[in-house]
Amino acid sequence: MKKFTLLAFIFLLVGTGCAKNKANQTDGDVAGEGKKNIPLISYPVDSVVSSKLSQNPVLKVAILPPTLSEAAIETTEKWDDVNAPALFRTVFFGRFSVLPYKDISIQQVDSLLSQNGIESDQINKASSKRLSQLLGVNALIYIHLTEVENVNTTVHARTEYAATLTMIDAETSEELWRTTLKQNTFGGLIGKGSQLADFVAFEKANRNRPLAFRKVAESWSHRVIADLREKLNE
Amino acid sequence: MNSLKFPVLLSILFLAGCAANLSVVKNLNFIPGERKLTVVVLPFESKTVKGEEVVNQVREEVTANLQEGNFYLAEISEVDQYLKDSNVSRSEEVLLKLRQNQLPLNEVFNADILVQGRILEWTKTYLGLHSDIELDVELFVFDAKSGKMLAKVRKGVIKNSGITRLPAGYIAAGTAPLAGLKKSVQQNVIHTLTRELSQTLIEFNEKPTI
Repeated sequence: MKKFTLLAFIFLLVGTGCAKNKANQTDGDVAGEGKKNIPLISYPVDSVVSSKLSQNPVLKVAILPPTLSEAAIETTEKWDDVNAPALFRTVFFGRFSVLPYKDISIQQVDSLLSQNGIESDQINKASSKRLSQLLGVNALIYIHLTEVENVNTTVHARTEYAATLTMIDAETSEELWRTTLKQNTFGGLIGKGSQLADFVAFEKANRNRPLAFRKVAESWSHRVIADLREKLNE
Repeated sequence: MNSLKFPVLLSILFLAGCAANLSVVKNLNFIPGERKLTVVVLPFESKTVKGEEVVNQVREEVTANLQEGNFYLAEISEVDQYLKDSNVSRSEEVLLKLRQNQLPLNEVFNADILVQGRILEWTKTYLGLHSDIELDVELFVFDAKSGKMLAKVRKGVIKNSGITRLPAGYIAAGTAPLAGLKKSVQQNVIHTLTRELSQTLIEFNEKPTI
């Protein structure tokens, strides 16, 4: 009888939750039932903010196409379902756009660069002064992705972005802001607070690469923007 | 002791409650995606949430996500400054003045639509073997000229942790509910819900509504 009670209890717990709705089918990363919840691993933000940035907040800023380390080029080339560097830039742009800077859209930046014969992999070859003149901005943000990973094995699942972001004053080429952060998700039945229902969903969720990368990029961007705000208010 | 088992199990099951499903109300005259619309995201409000941090964060996340749609977004700082200069702070006042032709947001920002949000629920519960975070948000879309409501979407999420998620061991049974209330989990709840609600608004402008 005791065994039966235990089995019934487990069955009820597993069965607990809400009916599926549209949202859960398309995304459902937390979605009420906590399904597909991959814990975020947080590393410290390493950043430097120039006093010039806090003194002169009204800047027109362009976020340039990301450059990639050799390791990141190698890993991103494997996936045809997601452009992880472009996704990272888009997500970061959205979070940066809420700050009191004038930012020009990604489409506008790419179109102006393309019109002037500058491909995204040639960003570092052009001077910041030339780029800012072409784009009509006071500051440029360079993104360098050092690690871009989406790993699924039988024992763990992980998605990761590691990036350094640098904001440069177009006139003086002075560094206004530099921040480095590694952010990832890691799933497995190891560590404090591990839960079976989440573990079962880890790998499946991590295979949805666009959403897995998006989630890490959101978290990465949120943390660096929060850090920047904190430093500007110091 | 045995007589206690059933009520205890039942109350644990009740703890893992359900959040509000996605609900969408849309007027037929919502402008379909013929051109890029300019959007002003008004300050968000809450009658239940203490502190502005979550309210502001939900507004910023919605704004950030809408950048990916077929929209031009007015700068939040400029919108807030304009409202401050116009001596209005609450969205109700904004809409009232707008409908009385006293607040030409459509001219100042060249705005087509206004987005406003209301946080209906933001609670964190800790009960030893169980914890949860609940967030419930409603977004409204208004015509920037007339102030008429064009659409509203609402959804809630509950992130349960602990006994209802089957902890992997005795230690996990104690630590999972605490881990479930960490700031990163709270952020995750906010990101997930705002992403989904914003996506619904983005889709409004991508597909013909009739």
